[in-house]
Amino acid sequence: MSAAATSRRWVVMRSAGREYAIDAVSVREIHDGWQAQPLTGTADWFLGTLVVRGRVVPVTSFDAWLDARSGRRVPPYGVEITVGEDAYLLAVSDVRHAVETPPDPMAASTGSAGLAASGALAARGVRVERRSIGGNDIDTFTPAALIAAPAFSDITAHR
Amino acid sequence: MSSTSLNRASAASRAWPASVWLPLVLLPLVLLAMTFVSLGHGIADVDRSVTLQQAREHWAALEPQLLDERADAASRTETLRRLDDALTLSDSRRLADSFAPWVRWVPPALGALSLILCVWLWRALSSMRKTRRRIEDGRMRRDQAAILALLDDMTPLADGDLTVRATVDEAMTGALADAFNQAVTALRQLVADTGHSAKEVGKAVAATRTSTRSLSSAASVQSREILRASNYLNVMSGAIAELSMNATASARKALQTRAAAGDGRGALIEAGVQLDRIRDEAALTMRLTHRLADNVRAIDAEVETVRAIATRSELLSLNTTVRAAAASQRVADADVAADERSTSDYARLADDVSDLATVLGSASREISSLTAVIRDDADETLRAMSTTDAALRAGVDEAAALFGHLKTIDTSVAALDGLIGDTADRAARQADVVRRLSGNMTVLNRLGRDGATGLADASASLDDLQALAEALDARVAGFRLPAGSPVPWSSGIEAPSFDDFEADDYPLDDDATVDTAALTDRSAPRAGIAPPAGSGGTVNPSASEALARSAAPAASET
Repeated sequence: MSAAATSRRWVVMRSAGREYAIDAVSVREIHDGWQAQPLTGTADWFLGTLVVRGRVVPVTSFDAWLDARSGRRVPPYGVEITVGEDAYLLAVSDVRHAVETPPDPMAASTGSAGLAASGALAARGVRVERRSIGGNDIDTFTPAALIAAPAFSDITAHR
Repeated sequence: MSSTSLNRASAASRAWPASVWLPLVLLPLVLLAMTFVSLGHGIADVDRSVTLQQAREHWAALEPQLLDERADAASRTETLRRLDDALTLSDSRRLADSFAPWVRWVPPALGALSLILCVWLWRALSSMRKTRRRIEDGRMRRDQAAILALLDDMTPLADGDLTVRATVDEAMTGALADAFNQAVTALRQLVADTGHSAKEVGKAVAATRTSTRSLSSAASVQSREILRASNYLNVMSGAIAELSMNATASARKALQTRAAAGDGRGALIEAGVQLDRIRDEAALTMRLTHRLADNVRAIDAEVETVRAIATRSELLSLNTTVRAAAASQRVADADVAADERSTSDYARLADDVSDLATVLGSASREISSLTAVIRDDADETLRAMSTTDAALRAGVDEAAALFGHLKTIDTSVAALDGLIGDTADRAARQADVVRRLSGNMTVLNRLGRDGATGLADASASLDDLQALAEALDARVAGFRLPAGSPVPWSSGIEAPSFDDFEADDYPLDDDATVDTAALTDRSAPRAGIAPPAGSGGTVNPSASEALARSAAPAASET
């Protein structure tokens, strides 16, 4: 089966009052009830590290990263995303069922078909695409785009 | 002749001279001596007769002994000695008789001496009688002259001249003249006092007549008022009798009220039992509701568990989806047909788990919703039951309080029953007393009328008395009193004032009767007789009958 013919599944999560979707392929696992080991000298949105299956995974409060007013409140759900061999845990307020969308012909050629998006995530320098998922227009992003954003790499407290 | 000489002559005439009192003294002495001598002779004769009789008796007793030849010499000697004793006694008598011859001349001498004394006494008394007659004749002439002079002085008194005064001197009429003057002086005072008294009596009689007339009018008014008061008392007796009957009826009502209170108490007890039962059932319902709420909370806890399971299932579904997507991606990248089945299995498992999570979540939400509804209903039921329980408790308390009130009412009604009964008895006695009082008032009315009649008679008598006083004053005016006669005695009687009493203020009725029908008419009450409260202003037939009964004895007495 070719990639162009397969449908895509999206994991819709709510963070900082808005819904964002990420390709289910980029998600390794969704956690709850976890507890990160905090690190001193880090930003408020960096909750620390978590050992998952023998690997140390940095935990980021996606809510706090998107909206500094959220503070150090720990969101209940954690979405473990993978970029290559690396894994990251995004703590979000809620995670919905993965929604399957029909194949996008444009996505096969361009890889980023969709409407240009704006908002907090885009303002953080993440490349975002707005797609119609489940009848709603939701900003989608890829883990690579998130990791590439300069604001996500700097976890020091001066920020 | 002076009064001294007269007195001396009178004293001399009263004193007896020696020629009189000396034979008067000697004559009894001589007579007494003659009597003693004669008595001595008589006693001596009797003694001699007795002595001879005793000697004769001794001789008669001794003679047989002396003549007895058989007697010895000793006994004859004793007999002779006794005879000697008797003869010795006779010797003593003979010795006494030896002095009698010169004593026998004493009585004739005493008789002659007494005769001489009698003659002397007769002559002295005759001389003294003549002297007294001569003195009495002179005194009589002087007294007749003094009496004539006194009569001359007293003659003007017969004409009512009280200015006369008799001359007082040393004559026999001096004392009479002095007494006459004192009597005339007293008569002057008496005449003056009598005249003044006649005037005073006239004034007093006039005042008394006025008073009597006023009293007669007042007595008539009093009689009328007494009659009216009697009628009022009759009405009052009827009213009190009616009060007694009403009190008796009230006592019956009180008994009925007690019975009703007893029924109410029983109903309250039954209601209290019912309330207790309802309260017990409400408590049971509350316990069941509490248990239901506890069960609902337990269900909520289980629902939380289910919800957690649903959440976990949803996460599992998501992770399965993620795995399926990762597997699908690997299949697409490697183009491995063998793994396509497993990918589809992942997807199907993810869908099943998702459906399961959805069902669990929906079920948990529905159960949660239902338990919330049940919990709300249970809470509402508990609140309602709490309110009901409080209301029941309040009802039980109110029933208890009402029971106490009913008990108090029962006690009060019992006391009221006693008081009403006592009031009825007292009212009956009062009615009897008032009836008797009405009879007494009838008697008083009769007495008042008799008093008024007596006062009218007294007024007429006072008219006669005033006429007599005027006549007496006219008679006393005929006496002539000297100028400067003593101030007559004042009685101080003044005509009393009866300004306070005006008979016109109490107009007399021809027939002083009271309209008892108007008195008993409650719709038009008169002063002093107010209809009882609550009577509605209607005449109670029983009151009229009681009035008739109470008025009957008074009428019969009248």
